[in-house]
Amino acid sequence: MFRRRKRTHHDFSEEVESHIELEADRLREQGLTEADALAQARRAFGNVTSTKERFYESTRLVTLEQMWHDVRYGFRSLMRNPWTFAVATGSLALAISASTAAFSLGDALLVRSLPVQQPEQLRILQWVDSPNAPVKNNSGYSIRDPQTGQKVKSSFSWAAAQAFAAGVPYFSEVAGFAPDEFVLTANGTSDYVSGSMVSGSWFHTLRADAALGRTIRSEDDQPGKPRVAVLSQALWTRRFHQDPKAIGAGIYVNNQPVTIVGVMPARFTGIEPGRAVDLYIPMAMAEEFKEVSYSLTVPTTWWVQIVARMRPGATDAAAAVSAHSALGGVIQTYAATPGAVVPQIVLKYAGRGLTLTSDYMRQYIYVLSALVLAILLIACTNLANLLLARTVARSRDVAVRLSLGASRQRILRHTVSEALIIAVLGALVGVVLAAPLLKLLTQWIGADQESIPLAWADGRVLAVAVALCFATALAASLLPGLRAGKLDLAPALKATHVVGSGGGGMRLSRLLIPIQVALSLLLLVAIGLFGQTLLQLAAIDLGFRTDRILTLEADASRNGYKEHRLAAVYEDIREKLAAIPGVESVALSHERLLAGNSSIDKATVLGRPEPAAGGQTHILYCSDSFFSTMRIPLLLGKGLPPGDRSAQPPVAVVNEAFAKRHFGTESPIGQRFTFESPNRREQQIEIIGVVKNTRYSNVRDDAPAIAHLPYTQNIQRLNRMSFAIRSALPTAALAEAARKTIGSIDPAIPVAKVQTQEDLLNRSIGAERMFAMLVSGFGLLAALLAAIGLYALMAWSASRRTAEIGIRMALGARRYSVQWLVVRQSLMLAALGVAAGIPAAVYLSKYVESMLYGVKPTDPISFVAAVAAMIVVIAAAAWIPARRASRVNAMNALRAD
Amino acid sequence: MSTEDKDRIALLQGTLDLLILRTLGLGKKHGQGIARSIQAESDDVLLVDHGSLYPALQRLEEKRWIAAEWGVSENNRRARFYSLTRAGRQQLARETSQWERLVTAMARVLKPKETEG
Repeated sequence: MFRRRKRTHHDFSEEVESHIELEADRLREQGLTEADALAQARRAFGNVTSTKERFYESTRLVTLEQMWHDVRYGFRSLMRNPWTFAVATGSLALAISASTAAFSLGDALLVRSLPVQQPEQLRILQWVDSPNAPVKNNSGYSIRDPQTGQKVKSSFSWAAAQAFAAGVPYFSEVAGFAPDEFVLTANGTSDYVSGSMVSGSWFHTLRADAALGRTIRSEDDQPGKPRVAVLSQALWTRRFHQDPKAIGAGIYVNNQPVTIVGVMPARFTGIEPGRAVDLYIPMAMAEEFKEVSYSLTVPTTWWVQIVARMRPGATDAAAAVSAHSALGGVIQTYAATPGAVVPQIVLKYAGRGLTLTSDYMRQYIYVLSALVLAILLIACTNLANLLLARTVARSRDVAVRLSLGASRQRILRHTVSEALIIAVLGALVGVVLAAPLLKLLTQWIGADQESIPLAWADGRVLAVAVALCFATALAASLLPGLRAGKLDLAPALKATHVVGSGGGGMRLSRLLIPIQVALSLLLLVAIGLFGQTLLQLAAIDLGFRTDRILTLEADASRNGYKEHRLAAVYEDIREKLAAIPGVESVALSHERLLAGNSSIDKATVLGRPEPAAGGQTHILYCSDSFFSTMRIPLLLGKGLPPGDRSAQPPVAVVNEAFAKRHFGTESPIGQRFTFESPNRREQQIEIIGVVKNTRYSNVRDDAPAIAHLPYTQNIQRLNRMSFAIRSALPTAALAEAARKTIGSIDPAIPVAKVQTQEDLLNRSIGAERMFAMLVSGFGLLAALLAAIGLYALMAWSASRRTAEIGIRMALGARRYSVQWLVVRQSLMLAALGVAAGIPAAVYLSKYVESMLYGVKPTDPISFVAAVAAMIVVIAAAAWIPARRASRVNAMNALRAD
Repeated sequence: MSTEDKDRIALLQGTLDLLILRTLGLGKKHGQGIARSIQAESDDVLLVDHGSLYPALQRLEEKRWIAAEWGVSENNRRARFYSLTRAGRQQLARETSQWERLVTAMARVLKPKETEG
């Protein structure tokens, strides 16, 4: 398009100059002197700058140029106070990264729907727990519904799943699934993967399609059909390096041959947010695994979780009633006694998937969001402080610019452009920091990372964060900006800020200080509470040493080893592991300590009444080397004997808690006890030793009563085994050596869960510890930012009063009384903030009670410390500049700006 | 700003624009010359604010009613010379007739008042 080039600013200036010269020429002709002519010509022209400005603003292209100019000007003037600039940008970046990460987490767990078609039609079926339900073998989860308070269970029999599909007209499709861990063998290596057995209708019910190949169909889920598997994107990447030839490749799942037929898209990570499923196999395969927990035929084995799709218009209530009668029909076929109860069916909305983690995490996420909001508010007030202080400090500069012809809009634009520079920088840094922060958060809740993508992948959360950033900056800049725009020129130009000057700026700061104080107080209380939680958690005496221990799990029972052969393999593994140079000792146990699992049975000591506390005893099957490896001191008697004990009289080493509960102060050595469960009932176990108390499945629960038994006493039910390796070798090298060693015995033995005991410790109190660390860390940073912002604000308002202080001193006020005056006034403002902050803190701390350990939500130490810290910061922030002001020579002070 | 608006108000700005167009109707002139010319022809009744003149010229140039080029003045100063374009000539005719209508209308309104008073 043809378009004339816009005139440049330079060209315009030249024209103005030429005009003035022409005018001067004319005046000279009329007889004026050279100098007078030029002066009068200029006078006649009027405000040159203003004219130039008007030219400047009249052209559109120039607007862009002007923006660039504004940005440069803004940046230059911001850099004059690099620290305040850094604090404002830093707090904004922190706020943006924290909110992006927290919102991503909240979005993934609480908001986002499953990435399938019409997710709102999906329901999960559960049944209300009842002791008379005709179930013998139940697997799956059992939880108390957070909304109704009812205890519900997840699983049904295979027959029930089919009855729901055939007999409930309100469902358009019904699918069954059973999540489990499987041993996947491919390309010569075996590994545990998180998987799910699914019915042939599962993918169709969800309307989830494969990214590559196909999903599992109903014809795959029949007995005697060739077995197929569908992989997640993550597993396909991890194990097959995204090789398209993986489709059609043969793998082994729990030693059964299976062909890969499809790969799911990356966004589909299963139906449970926070838990990613990597492998799908048809339900019919369950029979081939020959495990008691799975059966397609036994009606009392309930293991199938149900997801159903509602027909349009169908109500949940009607569907639940119909499902109840369908279940009744199935139960009638096998429950001989007419009294068998048909449990009530509950339909749970599953548009967001199976929200077990989410329901549990909800509270944490709310607290996190509140924290993030506080950080955002602090960032906002810091920014407002900075801009306000700058505008007021610049009043005179602004007045000069206004009188030189700068438009008021232009001045406002400067303030806004400064805010925008901070906003853009803050948003950039914030978004970059969001990804690692989210990774940290995901780890903290123990969720699978691929199931919680950073939500800015879909732009919504990012948009919110950036919008928030700009809104914050604009809100913070408009107020001081408008103030500058309204500036009354004459006094501002003359301004020496005598007594009580500052006007609106001071009034605004009087509002900002209490807000800042209240927010900081909330954060300090939170730091106090969670900091003490951290200390309490760290001070727990576990009863054993967690350092220099690597743990792993191996399971040779899935490869055909049984009983004595199995025990022999495990002994072989132990010997070879212990032979690795640098390994001190190796212990075997059927559960790892602090791994969250335990076996419990009821112990009865022969010839003694049941103690008041009951007989509940935690069982740990372990090797003779267990106590020495875990550094558990033996208090009485002897430790566990070595060798195969399956043919020997059963023995046990109990802990102090067990001994004290059953025998008080008497020695338990030589006493015998029995367990209640069928597989242990026959044995009369002799106590041969007592060890110190230890925690077992987790850190939080006090040390339980434990009976340690030689693992060979459990030879019939022997399956997987945990190994604890004590060594000073680096973890990675040791893990590699251990894997190689076990592989050399039999490459088909899967090795999994290679973790240090420290990791297990961290995981056990992971949620509490990470959350406490997160709150303390975030809180500390935010409180620091608030303190810096507060200091800057106080220092600024005190320095504004230099002239006032000068007058007071000139009139004979003492230095200290003047200092006290300033400090007292600041403390009054702070007191206002504290008065608002304390009730808010008391009210809010109720909500974090369940996340604390060893400290009450109204912990007086935390509150007193928070208030004391606040007073110190405020007093210092007021006193330091006040002292400086009071030391200035009175005359200088009076002249000070 | 729409044309209807201009018909009714924009007296001050419109006046200066009209005067500039009228002055340029007589021939090429630079800014200072335009100001002098207006002043002289109105017998010094109309005093042109030099500060407003150049934004007005800029405005008219953007509307393509006048064109400009750098040249040399009679006393050998470099100056920017303005001339009327074809569109500017049409605009001058339009604005002149509008102005005359306005003056007639104003006169009509103002006269009866005088007789009454």
